[in-house]
Amino acid sequence: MNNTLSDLIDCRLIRRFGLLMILTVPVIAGAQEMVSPADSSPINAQPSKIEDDKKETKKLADNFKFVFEIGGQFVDVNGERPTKYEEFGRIREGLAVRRFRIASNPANAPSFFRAIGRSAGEIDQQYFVDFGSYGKFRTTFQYDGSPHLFSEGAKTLFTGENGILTIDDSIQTALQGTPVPALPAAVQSLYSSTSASTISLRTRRHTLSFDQKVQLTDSWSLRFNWTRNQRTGNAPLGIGSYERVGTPIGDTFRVFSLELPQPIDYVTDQVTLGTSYITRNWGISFDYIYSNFKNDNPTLTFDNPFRITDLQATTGSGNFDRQKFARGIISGAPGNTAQSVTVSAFVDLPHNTRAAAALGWTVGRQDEQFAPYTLNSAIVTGVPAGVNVTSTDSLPEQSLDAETDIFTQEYVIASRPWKSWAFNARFRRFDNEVKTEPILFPGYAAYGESYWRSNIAGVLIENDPKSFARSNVITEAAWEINKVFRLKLEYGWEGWERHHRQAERTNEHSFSTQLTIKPTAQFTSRVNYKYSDRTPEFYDPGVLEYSGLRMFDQSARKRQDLDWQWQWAIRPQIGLSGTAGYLDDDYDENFFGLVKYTQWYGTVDLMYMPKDNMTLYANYARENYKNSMQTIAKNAVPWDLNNRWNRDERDVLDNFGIGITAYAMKEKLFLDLNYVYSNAKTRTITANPGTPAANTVLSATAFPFPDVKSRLQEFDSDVSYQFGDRWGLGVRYKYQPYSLDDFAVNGLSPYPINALPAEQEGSRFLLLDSRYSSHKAHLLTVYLSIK
Amino acid sequence: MASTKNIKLSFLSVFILTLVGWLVFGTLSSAVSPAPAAAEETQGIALGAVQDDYVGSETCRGCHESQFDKVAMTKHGKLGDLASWKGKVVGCESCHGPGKAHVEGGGDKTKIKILANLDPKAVSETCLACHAGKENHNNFRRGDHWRNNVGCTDCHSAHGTSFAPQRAGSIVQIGPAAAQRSNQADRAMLKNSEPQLCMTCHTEVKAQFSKPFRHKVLEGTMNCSDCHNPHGGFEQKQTKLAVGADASCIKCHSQMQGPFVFEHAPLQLEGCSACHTPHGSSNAKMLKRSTVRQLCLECHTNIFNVELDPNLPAGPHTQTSIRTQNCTVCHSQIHGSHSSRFFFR
Repeated sequence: MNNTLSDLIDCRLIRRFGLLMILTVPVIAGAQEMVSPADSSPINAQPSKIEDDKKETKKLADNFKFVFEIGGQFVDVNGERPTKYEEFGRIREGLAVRRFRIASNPANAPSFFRAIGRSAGEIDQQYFVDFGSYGKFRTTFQYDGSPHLFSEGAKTLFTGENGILTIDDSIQTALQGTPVPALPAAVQSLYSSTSASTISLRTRRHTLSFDQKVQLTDSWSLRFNWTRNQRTGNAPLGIGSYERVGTPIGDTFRVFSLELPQPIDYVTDQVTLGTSYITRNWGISFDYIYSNFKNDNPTLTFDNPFRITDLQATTGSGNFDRQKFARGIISGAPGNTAQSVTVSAFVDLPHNTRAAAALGWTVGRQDEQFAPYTLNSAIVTGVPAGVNVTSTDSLPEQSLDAETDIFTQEYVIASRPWKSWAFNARFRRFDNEVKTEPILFPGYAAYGESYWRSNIAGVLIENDPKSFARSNVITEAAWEINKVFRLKLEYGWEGWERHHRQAERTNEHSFSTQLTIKPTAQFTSRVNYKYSDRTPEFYDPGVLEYSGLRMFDQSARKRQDLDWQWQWAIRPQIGLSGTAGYLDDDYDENFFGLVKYTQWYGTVDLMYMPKDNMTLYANYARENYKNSMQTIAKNAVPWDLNNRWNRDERDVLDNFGIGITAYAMKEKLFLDLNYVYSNAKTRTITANPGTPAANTVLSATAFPFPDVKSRLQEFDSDVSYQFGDRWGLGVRYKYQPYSLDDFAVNGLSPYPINALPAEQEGSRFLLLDSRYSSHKAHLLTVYLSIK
Repeated sequence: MASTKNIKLSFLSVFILTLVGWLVFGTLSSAVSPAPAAAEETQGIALGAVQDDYVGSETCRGCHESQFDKVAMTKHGKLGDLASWKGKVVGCESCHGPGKAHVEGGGDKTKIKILANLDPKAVSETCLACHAGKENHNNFRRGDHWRNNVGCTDCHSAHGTSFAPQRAGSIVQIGPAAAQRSNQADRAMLKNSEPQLCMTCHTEVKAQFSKPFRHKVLEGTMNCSDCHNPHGGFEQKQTKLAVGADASCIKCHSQMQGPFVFEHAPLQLEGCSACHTPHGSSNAKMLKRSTVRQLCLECHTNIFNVELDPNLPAGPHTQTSIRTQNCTVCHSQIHGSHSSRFFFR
């Protein structure tokens, strides 16, 4: 929907950047004449030699080297949903500039210049310009264009711009009047008609940065950076709710589910100013950062395809007839600003010791206008007198007027008083103080914006400023026992203080040890073991959560963490290395929630260089994750402990890679082959420890979930031949099959209305089918390079 | 945080007192004790020598011509051109110390400082003699690399690299085009292009960037150093901080920063990695779990009707129905909402 706008912005950026690049070369060449004398000295500082060698200086412009590469590309893709092969890159057929490089780094001159570009003119293009004079200044420009493709060719009934998505009134009228059993056919008919348009769900990220560093004196330097990050396009956004329907054994729920093409138009500007004064024994740095995030679509208003008129949920207790609004509104990411000041300093002390400190203070603000409670004008029941639910004037405040102050401090003493002993002590505190005033809302439009609700289980509708502070103390001693053994011991403490969370305070003490063994110059092994114990001082589950639930991020936990790394240079030509790790988190099994988490992994990496012009490499990694939860179904109070189940989930991931890079024929022929295999499987196991309540919607009967499997393979080959000094010809072939078998989404065709039992699943779907499933992609590129 | 000011002041006071105490103690004790071995090893040769002990790089060139030629193309080799370095020791002897004894000894290796023979910390001290404090280098002594005996020359080549990314030696697929990506350009005198260099030791990361959903590091759009500070930092894994001391993710994903009216607490407190794996994942959105519901249920275990017999009427959160496998279909504003306590809109 914003394609036109984004294209304009992109072109404008690119044109400016291209112009800048074209202008930069002669400017810098000229600048070289000014900032660098016509001659310069060699690496020897002897005055007489300096004078002699000054005459040998060459101009920057005389030393330019160019590489330019152009190629043609052919693509063949097939599969159920093939867009993943272009998820983060545009791969189009036809002629394209693959890359160029212009660089100069003359000997005996302090100046340098280089410009690098890739895929010029494409959506995923990159440019990098870097020039300067060593010891004086350095200037860098960068541009990166990066797409994110969600899906292509999806059909939608929505049209619109500027954050308003509309559907023709006649469609809303027709669907509202269509009986539920006839809705699937009606929707499918619409998608086959001219009412539906085709849309690509794609965002583009443009990152442009300018970086300037200046060395004013030996000790004093300045730096400046400006970065603009812009993201435009459309991304899928889900919205859903339920209709409540009575059945003989209890109420059931029909789904209402929309997937909207949310227009994205984000811009973030960040400016950094910094200066440092550094001497041999002490130094101080100061940095100021300003960041501004702007969302041009702070709200998204959309038509309900199935309603033309508003209706309040009025049946029964008010929970029925949900989602019967004509238009809905969603709040987008609010614009914000942040300013940050950081001061850091260090001083060298006797006994080979350095003390360092860093203090930072940040103020973040957000003052975006609130959206109204709802656009459903039919909601009247329970609404306080004087409140117009569709007007922002009725809100208690027009915006949050948020302020968050973050104060960070870190102090470090690192010492190596003796050659075989090193000590390190650190203290860090991170204070996140939310100064935003809480706002008490009189209620909100619940149940799919169809009913006014003034509280949730007695809890008023009020935001909870979640201030928190985290403190860390780490002390460490390392002992070089001899040339073979090195031992490190560490004690750490982490304390949390939280507001408006279940555990206001937790303490975690940890002890760790590390043993490094280097029996020969060719072999190194390092083992780390860490034990930590976290305890909450007090845990309050609150009224909205079950009293027996403990959230794993704040509950009592005992952790054991073991990892091992090793490297072995079997021969100068053969290197073998590996890692292995085991992590075990134990939580209190007397409570519900996550009770155990275990992960282990092992990797091995081989590199073999049979000849100077050839490298073979291979790597394998296996990761294993397991988590166990105890869950209880929420029904009437008191909770029925029979109505609980255990749930274990295991993820096993295998990754394998093998490749070769080689030169032949006197470095004229280059070969680069690579194959990567990545496989993942998730198994979910559920079991009922007791006998769950039967024949009710509140049952917790265990269910045998199918496995979820995914597999990605990539074969990439690149062969090139250099004709003489200037010309080169290459061929690249890439093959990428991907498959995903996930029961959670397998049944989701674009419009799954026929695939599901209407009794349980309802009939009101309007999805964009923006997901990946399987594809096979072949990519062939022929390219010509010129130096 | 009513007491935070007092705590801050207390720690600041303790730190200052410790600093002063250390200075006084160190000054007194250094008067009666010899300089520690490490300091002598790293600083004494280069800085303690007199001018007559230096022979100049041209003399070194007589025997070490290939190294000389290589260095001449680097910023190290061009220091002599800079006004700010006039009168200072530059060239080979700025790192290797005065060469007179070495030359007069007929190339006696015991009379010159050979960095390859020093332990990584001593090597780093040599480099930090000039580079300490240059931007984030002053963090190096508190960083994980320093603490784990990874020295400057493990990643950088002071002589300059014969950087030829197209040559054999890569441990990941590169190809001529990939070799010239901006993030693979020869910079900071690194021994290799950044992702390859980091993965030389962090081999487990290579597999993570081969997963179906990943940040584009090997593809060239991002660098390891976009998120990590190899010279040390405040956070675990030496991750960089964005403005506001937020995780570096916010630098690109600013829309998640808020502050929101209704915050999702784990995001605010634990950060993005509470739910996402930043390097790569087999799961869409780089989530930690293959199914969204699993991730959510680890905290929200007792919500309404999470799991039901498929033969029974479905509840709003039933896990046997495709419509509710992914909680974020409805709770779409899960990173924080400006208008819904339950992150609906």
